Amino acid sequence: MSHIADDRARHDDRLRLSRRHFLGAAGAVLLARPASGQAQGGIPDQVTVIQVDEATSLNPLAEFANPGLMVHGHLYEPLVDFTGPDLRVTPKLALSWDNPKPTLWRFKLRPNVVWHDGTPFTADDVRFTLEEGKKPTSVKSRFLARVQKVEVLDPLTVQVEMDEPYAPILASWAYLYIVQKKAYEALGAAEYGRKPVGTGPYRLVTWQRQQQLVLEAFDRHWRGAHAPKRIIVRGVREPGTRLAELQTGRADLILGVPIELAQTVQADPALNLVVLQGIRTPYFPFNNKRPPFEDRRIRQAMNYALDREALVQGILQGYGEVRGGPFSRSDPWFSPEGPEYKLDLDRARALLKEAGKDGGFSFTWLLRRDVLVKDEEIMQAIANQLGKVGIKANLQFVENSTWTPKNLSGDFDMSVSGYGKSVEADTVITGVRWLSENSKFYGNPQLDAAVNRARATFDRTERIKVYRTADRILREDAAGLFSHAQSELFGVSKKFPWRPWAFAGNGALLTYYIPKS
Amino acid sequence: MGVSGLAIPPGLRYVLGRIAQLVPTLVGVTLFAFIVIRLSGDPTSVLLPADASETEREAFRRAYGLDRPILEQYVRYVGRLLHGDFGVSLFQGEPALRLVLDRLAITVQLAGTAIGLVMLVGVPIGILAAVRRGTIIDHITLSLVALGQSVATFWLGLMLILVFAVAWRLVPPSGYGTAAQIILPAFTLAAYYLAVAARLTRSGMLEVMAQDYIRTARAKGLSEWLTVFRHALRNAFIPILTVLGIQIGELLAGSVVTETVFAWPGVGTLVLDAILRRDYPLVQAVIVVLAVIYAVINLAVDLLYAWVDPRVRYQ
Repeated sequence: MSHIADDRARHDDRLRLSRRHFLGAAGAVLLARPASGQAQGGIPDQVTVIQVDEATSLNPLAEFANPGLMVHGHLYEPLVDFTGPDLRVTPKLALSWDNPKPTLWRFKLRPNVVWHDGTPFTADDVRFTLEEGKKPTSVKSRFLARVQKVEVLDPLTVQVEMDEPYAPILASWAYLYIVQKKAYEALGAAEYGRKPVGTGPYRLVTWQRQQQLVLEAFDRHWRGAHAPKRIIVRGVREPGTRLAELQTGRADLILGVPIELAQTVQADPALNLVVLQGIRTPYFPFNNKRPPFEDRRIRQAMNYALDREALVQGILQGYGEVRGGPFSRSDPWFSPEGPEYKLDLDRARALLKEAGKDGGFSFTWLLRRDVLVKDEEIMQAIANQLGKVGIKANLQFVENSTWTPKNLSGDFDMSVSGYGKSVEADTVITGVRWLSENSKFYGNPQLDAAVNRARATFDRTERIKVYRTADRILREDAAGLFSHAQSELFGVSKKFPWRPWAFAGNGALLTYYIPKS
Repeated sequence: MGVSGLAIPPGLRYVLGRIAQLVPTLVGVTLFAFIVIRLSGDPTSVLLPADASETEREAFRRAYGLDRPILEQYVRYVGRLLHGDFGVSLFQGEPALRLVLDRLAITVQLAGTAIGLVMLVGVPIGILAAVRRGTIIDHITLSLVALGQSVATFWLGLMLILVFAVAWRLVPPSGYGTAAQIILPAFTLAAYYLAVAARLTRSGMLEVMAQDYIRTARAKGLSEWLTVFRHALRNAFIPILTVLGIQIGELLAGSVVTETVFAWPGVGTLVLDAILRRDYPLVQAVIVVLAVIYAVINLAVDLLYAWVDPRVRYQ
């Protein structure tokens, strides 16, 4: 989801050798570790969480990278959220909403919500956030591009007019944290990023950059004060150092445990390894407008040539899931009718023969590092697997800054991309550019029609049915080389009964507190 | 150094001359910093989500003036620089210069401690090895020097964490704020330079100790202690000073790995962030500030020469 996280992965990559050494030594040295106290079932008063990086700004209109979003999610609230493992629609600052017209959204806001400074939350704050967020300097402007007009009907009702019907909008608005008009105007965007005023369950106590950020449960939150009382958030880039902090009891929760260190966490009697399955899905788009990929049979053949189990079990050590299509079987819009690609070399060869590429062919694979976990191992393995049916992939690794324009303009045979778990299939389909209107490498009028139909379908159950059609089309079409989804690994102290139960937005975000049931 | 009338004393003239030489260097640095970071890529590829459209990217560039011709951008940049305005970080929205100076202060603590270790540990070890040449002390020193110069910084850092923080619980693994937290990163940062200092001191001392005037000093009946420290070390120190002077600049700029491993909130981690995020104003500010420091340290080292070696003063 964020390139910054990706760049971090590249950094980790450079230190990969170190991690192996670290592991070797870990087995030997960790014997001396004294046993820590076990959880008492209660929630500690104070916990320390170590992310892979710190936030850059606490102004939600100024940062759009995971480390920042995670902290924003404690300080602020969106109108509507999607929480829990099943990503259920959860009213937050909006209590209810309806559509008097397909282009009109009317939100009834939650009464008796107060900002961290004690002033009441009103519809003016929502209007201000939408208008400020639409400006090009805002990193959320893309979610608000369709907004034409925002009207305050009464202090607790706000009406938003869109340029066209777009039913799945709430999925992306889960990221749209509402800011306080008064403080934002008084402080300006940068200063507000240091002195945030939110309505969220936690308020900022102090923030020493690159050191620590201290959050305290907001006792006037509309749900009451949450536990733990204090959350200290740090950013530490080096995974080995994060683990050392956890092992020495100076941290209670660490994010971004690399697969190589999973064993060490598991072996420690004071720690739990928490695995969140299938959060991020890497995917390899074909340029369907370029030979030989314009032939659907070629694309299908490549999908049948892939040994996904080998990638997930062999390289990811099981910390992932195979994907024979763009979505997971657990996604409600997974179509049982579409083909689910599995390894079938005979079929792959037959399809190649049908398409007149009996002896195979070669192509250039435009790659950048850090899109996926174990990137080079995975890509090399895929290239080897394709080689078994005579397809030769020339791996071309380029820098992010070279990759971005090439990828946008469709200047590739095959590329690399990825997406997070989503509450609406539309977010993924638009995000990876499968719609004719925004894609230089794929287009299918049937898919466009399905997505447009879904956008005008305001009943979610009905909309999901339409998405099933989209999923079937994408799989029949072999819109890309589908391979796997990777898991997120967390290290948690047994004293802290934390689970990633309250992830929000597209599923990549977490809360560090224990949610009220 | 005679002072005659209103003439500038030659010592001061030497200093002023050296300062004037900094100007073209710094102009070159600003131009270099400005162009290179722009060649490295576009901030929109990092700041905006991966699936942002070209229209969104264009709007962002326009908002930050990045759509204008590069020459125009440079002229504006230098114009502001002359007023002490380094611009505002694209990501943090704060004045770039303030960010750099805040973080530099934290790196200086680390680098200062590391330099202290080099001077107080590395140099004496070198002297000892030279004085006890061929003994077991000398052999151990040489082995440690080879190790110190070849060990990878990140590996050393992680090993120190595993042993001293995780296994023995003597110090915290990472972070900033207490005296205990500076020990491991300072040692990690210093390791290479400790080895260099010990090796240079040893060889410098050996060379000097073979000189006639040392024999004379001994013949005069001076104590070995006075011979070594007053006569030998002073002369052996010039090459050490040169090398360390250059490397102190590197120590400040080169603490990226150490700071990353120990989550030390210094300029090293700042520069890494800034480059990865293509935060143009911040990268430029870091480069210019570090270049100034580097230049000033070099100047200081040259002036120190004059103090250590009187011959330089009379040239």
